[in-house]
Amino acid sequence: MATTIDVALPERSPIDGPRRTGGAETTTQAQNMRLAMAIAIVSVAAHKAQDTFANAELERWALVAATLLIAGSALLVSLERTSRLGVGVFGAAILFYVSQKWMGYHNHGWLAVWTIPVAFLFGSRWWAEETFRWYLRMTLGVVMLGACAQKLLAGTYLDGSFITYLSLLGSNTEQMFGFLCADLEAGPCLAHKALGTFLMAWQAVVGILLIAGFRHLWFLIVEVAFLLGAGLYADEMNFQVLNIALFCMAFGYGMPVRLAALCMPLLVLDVINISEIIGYVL
Amino acid sequence: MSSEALATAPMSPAPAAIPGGDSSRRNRRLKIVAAGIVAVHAVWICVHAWMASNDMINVWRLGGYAMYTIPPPFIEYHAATRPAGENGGDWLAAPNGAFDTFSFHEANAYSIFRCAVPPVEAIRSLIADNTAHAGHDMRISISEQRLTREPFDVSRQIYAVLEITWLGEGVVAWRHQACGDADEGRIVLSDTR
Repeated sequence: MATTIDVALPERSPIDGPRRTGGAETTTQAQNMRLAMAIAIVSVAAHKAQDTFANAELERWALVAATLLIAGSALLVSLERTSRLGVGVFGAAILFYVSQKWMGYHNHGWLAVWTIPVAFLFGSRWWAEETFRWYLRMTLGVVMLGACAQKLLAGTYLDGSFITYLSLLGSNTEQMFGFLCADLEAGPCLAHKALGTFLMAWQAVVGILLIAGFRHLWFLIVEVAFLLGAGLYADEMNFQVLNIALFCMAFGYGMPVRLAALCMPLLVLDVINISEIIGYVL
Repeated sequence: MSSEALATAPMSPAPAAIPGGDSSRRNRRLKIVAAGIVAVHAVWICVHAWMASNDMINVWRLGGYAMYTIPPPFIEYHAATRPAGENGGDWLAAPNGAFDTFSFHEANAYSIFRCAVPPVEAIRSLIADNTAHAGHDMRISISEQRLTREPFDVSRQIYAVLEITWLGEGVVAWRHQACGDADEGRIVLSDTR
């Protein structure tokens, strides 16, 4: 017996273009969602760029090709017609890369594996799918709570010892809070304990708000500012740009061109290494 | 909570919900798949946290979120040799660069599983890449950067030792000590299995 499936013809989404709504704003929103995805992919490519020369030296051409495909997919996802194809290309390339380098793959690199390729499931207009945004919010929320739990288990944030370690032996940027303690070698002072506790609490609050579905614009703005600061502090801008792009998609706003224009040079600086630049200037 | 409810949650002046033309059935299926992926991810984060808190892995790897909780280990291999057959004799530290540990490092999964015994393939490649030391007993000590909280200290500590003893005629015995455990075995070098 044939099964009848109730398939409603899709109405065009308000962010799908001006044809139905006539609003330039909604077109921009759709473009901004794809732009956010493109920037997320560029951040992954920027991270891989640091390994590309080593891969070429070792004649691991398949990994070099995968990196180039990842970079190329950023262009594809930014265009409406090829956006899903771009996500598919990215997914295939990153899964191949991870299958070859899983043991050396950085933790934060895995976040891109858990998030970007999943957009492919949502069809050719993935950016208009509320369920995809929900998925991103849940994933980011779980990651934030997971990161907070790991800090709690390690105990190095509540007692400030990790901040003190960074202040003593971290890169130039990671030493920025060293001035808060008079004698770093004696161990963490109250200020580092307070900072460590604040960072942990921040992650917990952000994780809970994300899972609760809280999507206030100011929440996004504050979190983006926080992530940019964290990127400079840890000299790990590629990861923070990935986070920012994912947050922009998860909240449904996409990434405004001005924010993308800020992120791109930061990624270039990250490839060069922000700490080295500061060290050179100083 | 339905996606519509999420999108119109109070205090969430986010962009309007996507009315989308998805049939509710398709939407429901997608949501189940998405929730499944989130659940798998969450379970892995818990497994990673358990392994990290038991010091079983390099917490900066394997897709958990424990990076920036302890210093990166910056694994180093310290090699030493002694003439074969002098069991109990003094080990002579090999100068930096005298030992090639590249293939060993790769075959041993970058030593991310801290307590795991190196695979036979890794031990074979260590011997094959250092033929200049063939016939000598070898010792590889693996060290990592470690943060001690009480009293506060950051130092390099050896956490695993692999000793390879030549038994003659292409046969070696190995002994691996890490995380309070010791394992040993033998390898016939001509045996390619």
